[in-house]
Amino acid sequence: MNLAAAVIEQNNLIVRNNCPEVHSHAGKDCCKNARNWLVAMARSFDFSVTDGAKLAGPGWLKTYYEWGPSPWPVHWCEAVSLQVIDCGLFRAFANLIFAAKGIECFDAQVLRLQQTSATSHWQKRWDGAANSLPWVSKNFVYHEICAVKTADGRCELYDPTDGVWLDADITKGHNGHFAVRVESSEILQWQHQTLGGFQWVSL
Amino acid sequence: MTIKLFISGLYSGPSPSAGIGVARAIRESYPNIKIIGMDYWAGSSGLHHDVFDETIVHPSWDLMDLDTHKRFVQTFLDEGGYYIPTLDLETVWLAKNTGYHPRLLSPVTSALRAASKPYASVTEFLPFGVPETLTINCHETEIHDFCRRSAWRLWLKGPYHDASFIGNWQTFSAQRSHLSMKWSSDKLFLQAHKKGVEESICFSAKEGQLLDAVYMRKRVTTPDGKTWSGKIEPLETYLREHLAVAVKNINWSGGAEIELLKDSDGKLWFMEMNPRFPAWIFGTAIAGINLPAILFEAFTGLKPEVTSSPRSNQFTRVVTEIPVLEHTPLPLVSEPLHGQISMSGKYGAGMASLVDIIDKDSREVEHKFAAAVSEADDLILISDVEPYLRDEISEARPTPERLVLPGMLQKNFSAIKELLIENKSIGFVAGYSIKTNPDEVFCKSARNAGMLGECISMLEVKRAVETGWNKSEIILNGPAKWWPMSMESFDGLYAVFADSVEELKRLIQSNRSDQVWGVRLKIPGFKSRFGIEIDTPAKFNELCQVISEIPSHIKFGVHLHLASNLIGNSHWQDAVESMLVWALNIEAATSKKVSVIDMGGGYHPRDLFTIPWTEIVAFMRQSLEHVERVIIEPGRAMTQDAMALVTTIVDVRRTGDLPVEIVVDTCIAELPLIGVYPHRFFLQKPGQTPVKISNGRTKVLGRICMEDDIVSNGLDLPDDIAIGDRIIIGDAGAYERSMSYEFGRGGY
Repeated sequence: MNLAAAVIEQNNLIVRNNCPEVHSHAGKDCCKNARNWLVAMARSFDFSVTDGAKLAGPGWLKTYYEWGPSPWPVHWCEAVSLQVIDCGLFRAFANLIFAAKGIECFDAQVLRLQQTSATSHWQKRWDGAANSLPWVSKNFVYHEICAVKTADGRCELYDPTDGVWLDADITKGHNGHFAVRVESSEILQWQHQTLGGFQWVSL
Repeated sequence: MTIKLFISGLYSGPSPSAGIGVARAIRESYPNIKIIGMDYWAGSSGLHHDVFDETIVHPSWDLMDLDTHKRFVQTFLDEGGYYIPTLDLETVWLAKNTGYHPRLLSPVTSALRAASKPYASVTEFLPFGVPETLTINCHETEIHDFCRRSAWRLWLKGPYHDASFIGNWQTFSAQRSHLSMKWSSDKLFLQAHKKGVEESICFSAKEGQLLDAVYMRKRVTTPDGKTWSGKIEPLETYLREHLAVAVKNINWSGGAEIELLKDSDGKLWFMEMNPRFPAWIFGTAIAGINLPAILFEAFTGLKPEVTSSPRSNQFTRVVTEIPVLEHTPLPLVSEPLHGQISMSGKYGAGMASLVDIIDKDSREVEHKFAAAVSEADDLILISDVEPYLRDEISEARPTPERLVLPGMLQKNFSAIKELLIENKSIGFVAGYSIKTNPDEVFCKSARNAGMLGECISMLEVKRAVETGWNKSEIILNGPAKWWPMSMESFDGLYAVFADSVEELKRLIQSNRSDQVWGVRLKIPGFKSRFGIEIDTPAKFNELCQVISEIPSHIKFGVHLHLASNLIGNSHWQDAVESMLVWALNIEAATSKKVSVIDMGGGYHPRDLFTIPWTEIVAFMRQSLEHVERVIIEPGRAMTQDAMALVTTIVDVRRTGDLPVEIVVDTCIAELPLIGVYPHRFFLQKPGQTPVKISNGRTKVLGRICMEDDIVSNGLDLPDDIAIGDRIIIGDAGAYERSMSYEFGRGGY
């Protein structure tokens, strides 16, 4: 077990190893229509002809949805209508949008260092939330992000909750990236770090 | 002997100069040299910073005697002092007046020219994109073309500093006046906005040799975009190689910063090159690549007395209070002028006055606007108005008079007819927007060209029917299309597009027999007061539910109306593509298939026939397989340039021999949109052929007693302009005609 996995286990951060899936109602169109709605919204806010950039992240998500506890498990038709969503839904929405733009992307997870001055707030906010996932410990938080393939063997990490592209140099201190896991069998270079293979990589 | 280093630019306000940062960086490596800080305003707080051994306050540039200052600089350089200027305009002035000096650590004139705005030739050696740029001493039509092409997202930039965001023509006109006055210069230029994050390269160089460089990514900025915090990295090898070539080719000396934007795809765009170190330069010392010290060492040959190690590759700023030194008391506060709201914290060194001095040689050229060149459409206009103007009777006809230009009318409607015939087989249809010009001649021309009639009220439908359209050839749009409610509504129209879900419900409950019912969509992300909101799942689902209730014998359509004239062509294309995605979603969520796509109007006359309609229609039909017709609704594009307004000069006001203002007998009542888009102007002296007029210095005032009745902020009129001469104002059709009103005529 590597260091990151040990931290996750010791801190009892999250019960599942992979990013959780957003479900679809079987035999109904509601969830398909919800995904279509999200993709259409993304095209409206993409301005790809005006800006001429293919890899622009869906920054509008963070202004449209508020970050906070959201229930799991959840279906697409319920998820898109929420006003408050957690990083797991931000990740799921953003990856659906990247994929709709024809950009290869993967679910990814990051273990972040946090000060107790922040985690105590997150813990309190999530304590009362029904069916949310355990993601906060005293000095670490579990966070879901997107790994966006930018070229053969290369990726960048997009955090749709904050609407930012991550910097591999930030590995220490508050919000430092302690470890990253990309749900891809392909080995991908993220700046000067090597990720992929479904493995937690300590930074 | 103690080495003396002079450093200028000690302003440390919201948009700080680099003097303190440079001094701190050099002091760190050379604690024992004498650093003398210089500035041109007593309010510059860096004058009190303890990094300096001595500080000097010169008069501001607008008050100083330049020869005295030149001798001062020359003397301390000749006496062995070194000088690092950190003010852009001062650097240019020094290069021009002091020229090359082995102890002046800044670039020479030829190097500055290679880095100067708006077309920095140094970019030829650098691997960066350069945003499209236009100097604005061209005709306004060309400027408007550029603005539309840039999606109305541009920066109007001053010759050395200042940039204002331009989102429409009114802002452009206001900012052009403001910046021209501020810089006493017409050397302004427009640059297309690029979306991206701000980064920069900072370097030191000596006589064409790159000494060292860093890459800086801004992390926090001030509201004005000035760096507050940043991350410093070594320059990537490929960038260093390109930079070395650039520095060599332009023979750069001194510090510099290349400001860049990185777009979402990682492409770097060149914004500008500053001929001095940036204000955040001490960050390079923190990161262990002390560029000012490296520069100082290269010029003096002195090894650093102290070698400091990197502390962090990130830096940030704090605001601290420091004691004011007795020998430089703070400036006094002047009593506020009437209307002045707050004290100004702006740098008071009078730098703008240097532009006059620096650009003296080029001012003659600069003040001349590009000559007006008549294009094909100008020649048609001249030919169209000449018969009227040559007619002796016309001299007795009162002005202002609006003329239909038969040549332009014929040209425009022939072109649309041809376009429609070419694309008939793929279902391309155009509807004439009646509101843009309901005059009979235009309505009949439109119908003869094969256009449908597009109306926004029952009165317009009545007008359309009166001028020859069948009801089945009419499209009805708008938020209040059934107005006036007292009038019996026309049934059996070609298409009706609902502007709200409530209206669509009423349509469904009606017994109307129109061929097509549709919805105008309010596309998320685009500003519009019109259309049906779809930006929440609930609203979209409700719309889809109502659409499902449209009777099967009625065809369904989707309508978008965002004027490309106002949002630019690329932005409009984004809206159209977005509408297509929404239309596909509607099909997926309902039982209705989209039979008609209506892309609305608002095209600029110079764009309508350049848009690749055939490809667009083919793409739509490919995406939505049930589409039978794709409609556009041009009106402005058909009629704006097909009318002109003749006005007579009723007063000429001169300063000396030069006409500074003229008054004409037209006004904003006849030209309500005169300030909203550019118009072409032609001068006609009695008995002569009209000639096109460029932009210039003579203001054209309207006849009514309204402060905003300004017909033009400046035309290049001849000195012999006289009362009775006539001005022909082009592009006076469309909304200039249909929105004109009675005012100042003794009745209404």
